[in-house]
Amino acid sequence: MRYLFVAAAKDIRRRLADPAAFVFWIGLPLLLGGLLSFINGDDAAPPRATVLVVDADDTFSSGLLLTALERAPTLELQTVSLDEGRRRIDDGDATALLVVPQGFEQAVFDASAGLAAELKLVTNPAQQILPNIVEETLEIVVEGVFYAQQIFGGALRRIAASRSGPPSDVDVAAMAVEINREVTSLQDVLFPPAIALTVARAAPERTAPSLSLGQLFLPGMLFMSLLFIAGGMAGDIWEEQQMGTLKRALATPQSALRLLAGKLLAGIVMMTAIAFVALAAGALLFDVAWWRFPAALAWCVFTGGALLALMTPLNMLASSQRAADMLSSAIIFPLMMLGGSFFPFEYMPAWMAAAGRWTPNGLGVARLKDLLYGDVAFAPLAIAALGIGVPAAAAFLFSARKLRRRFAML
Amino acid sequence: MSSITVDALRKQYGDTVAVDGISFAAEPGEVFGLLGPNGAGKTTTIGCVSGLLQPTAGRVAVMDHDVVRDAINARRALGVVPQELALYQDLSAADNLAYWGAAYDMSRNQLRPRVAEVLEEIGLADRARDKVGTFSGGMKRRLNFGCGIIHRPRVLLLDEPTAGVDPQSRVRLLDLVREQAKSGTAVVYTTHYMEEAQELCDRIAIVDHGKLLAIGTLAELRALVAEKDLVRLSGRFDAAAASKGLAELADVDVLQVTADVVTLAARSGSRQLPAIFAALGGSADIQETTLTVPSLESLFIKLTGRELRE
Repeated sequence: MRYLFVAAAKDIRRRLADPAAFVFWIGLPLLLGGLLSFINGDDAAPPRATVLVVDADDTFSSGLLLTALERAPTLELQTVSLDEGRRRIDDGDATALLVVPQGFEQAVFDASAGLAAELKLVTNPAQQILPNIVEETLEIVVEGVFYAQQIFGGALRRIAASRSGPPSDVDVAAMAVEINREVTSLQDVLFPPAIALTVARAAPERTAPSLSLGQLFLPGMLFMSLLFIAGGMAGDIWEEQQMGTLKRALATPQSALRLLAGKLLAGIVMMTAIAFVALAAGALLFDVAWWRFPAALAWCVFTGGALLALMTPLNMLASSQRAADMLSSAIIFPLMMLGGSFFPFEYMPAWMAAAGRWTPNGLGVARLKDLLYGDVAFAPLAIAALGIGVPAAAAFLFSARKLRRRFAML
Repeated sequence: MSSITVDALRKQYGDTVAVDGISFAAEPGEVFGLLGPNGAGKTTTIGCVSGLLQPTAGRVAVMDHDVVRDAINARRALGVVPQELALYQDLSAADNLAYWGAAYDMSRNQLRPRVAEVLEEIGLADRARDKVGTFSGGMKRRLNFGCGIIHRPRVLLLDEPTAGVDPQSRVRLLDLVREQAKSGTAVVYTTHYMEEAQELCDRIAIVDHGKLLAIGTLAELRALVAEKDLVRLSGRFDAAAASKGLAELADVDVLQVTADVVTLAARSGSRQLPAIFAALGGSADIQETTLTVPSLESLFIKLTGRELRE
């Protein structure tokens, strides 16, 4: 028994002595996950444009405009003086500077007299997208204000005129009557609307995932790491063959089963460490519940070990280390593709997802999703455990039986 | 009880017979040499003894444990130093020794002093914590040897341990082998270096093409060539005429005659030279003459009709 731990410790130290391989195993999925997280908008707060506002008019109408702008979720308005606004725009400290000039309200109400209300928008040239968003939003709001003025101009003027305080009950009643008249006159157009917009959405082929992109990708990414480790540790047999240590080990009293079990244990320890890091990252970045952590970790370690056991016979069948590497790659990458590591099942064609869910890593990914985000049912978990565990045990025993005959002669 | 007994060992790969009925035994404290050219079957024999290869026929026992039926106990008594280095380059010398010791089920308490002792023996005590990858070839060879003796084996198999080693490390390794034998370990030593076998081995078995050609102490093997000197002539010869002329000489055994080389075993060879030259006839163009006192080389040539290094 002691040999098992010594052998596992030896393999772990060898792996740690080759940090490049280790970093690749854990780094590639983390890199992909990080990129996805970066691209993914739904996990983070949407980007907001900071708009500096100079309200030189300070009237009911300018307030109406700014209130409308404030309601836009993409904009954050900050009232500043003109000098501060210019300085901060020059420093690149905001997306845009909006100046509402004095006489804005007058110009709005006297639009029919040919006066034009002019707003000045200065955008930050260092930013590409946000200034456009500000510009578009402002255009929409300005258009809204224009039509409001056209339709309810009289009422608005009276509200604007009552600066001393809130309008009297009589004024409010008069304004309500006026607005009602305007709406009634537009009734033929509005009820029912003369222009009806019917938006037809294509029915999704399946239920749209309620998980965020990061949550969807996490299990697949984690299993990508586990597959890399499984492939690498299974291929370690050939590395030991090249170093001459395998033959020497076969001449010791240790059985082939124990030699392989040492490697399996080393792989499991490394997988535990990597799964722990990945799940912790998931909990921090993608809101995975901490209480789900232990079961998910145990599942990852079990399926990871099983994947390593399943990869080992490939190395027994290969004629050389190069052939073993090629064979491993030829199996690992399609497995990743089908098993939900490159794309979650939810984004795959139905036939592909159905096939992928029955690959060894696909079974692992699907059940890990249940353990992380869904309801954990015993039956599917047990079926998956048997589906992975039984072939893995058979593969491990086959490898142990084959090891001495395969490598003693080389 | 012999430490190791090999009885009519045969190993066959398809139609190719790698080892053909070899038998020998080695006693405690004895250095037993397996001498033969590359491809003679030495490594295959070691493979069968160490349990790596399954013999096609015959029996091998280590400390009376059959290597097939009682493999675990047989392997426990064996130490193997393979021809190629078998070390973890990323681990330190001490870690390598500790790992191989654990592979022979040594406990942590047994290992700690033993690792220090072996490091001292192989002259690497000051490099114990350094990674093997930073060692010179000779140091690696010594560590390779150390890993084979860490568990104090009763039988030590050494497969060409000095191949490609610098002279200084070679001397050190041969001393280490002698020390093992002195401590009571039976050593089976394969080599194709004649001088090494002569210098080190108490008994030698000469093998070629998988067959055991001769076995005995150095003195016994020398006696097989009847204390005759080895005379080697090189130049241009009429092989048929030379064979005919030389066959008429008394006390001269014709070992090899080709168009370029004539090899003879002759009693008092230096005194026989004029007669040998005369027997070769006028057509012979002798360019070089070498006279060697009886050795394993002459025995090997006598037994196989060719030189060991051919």
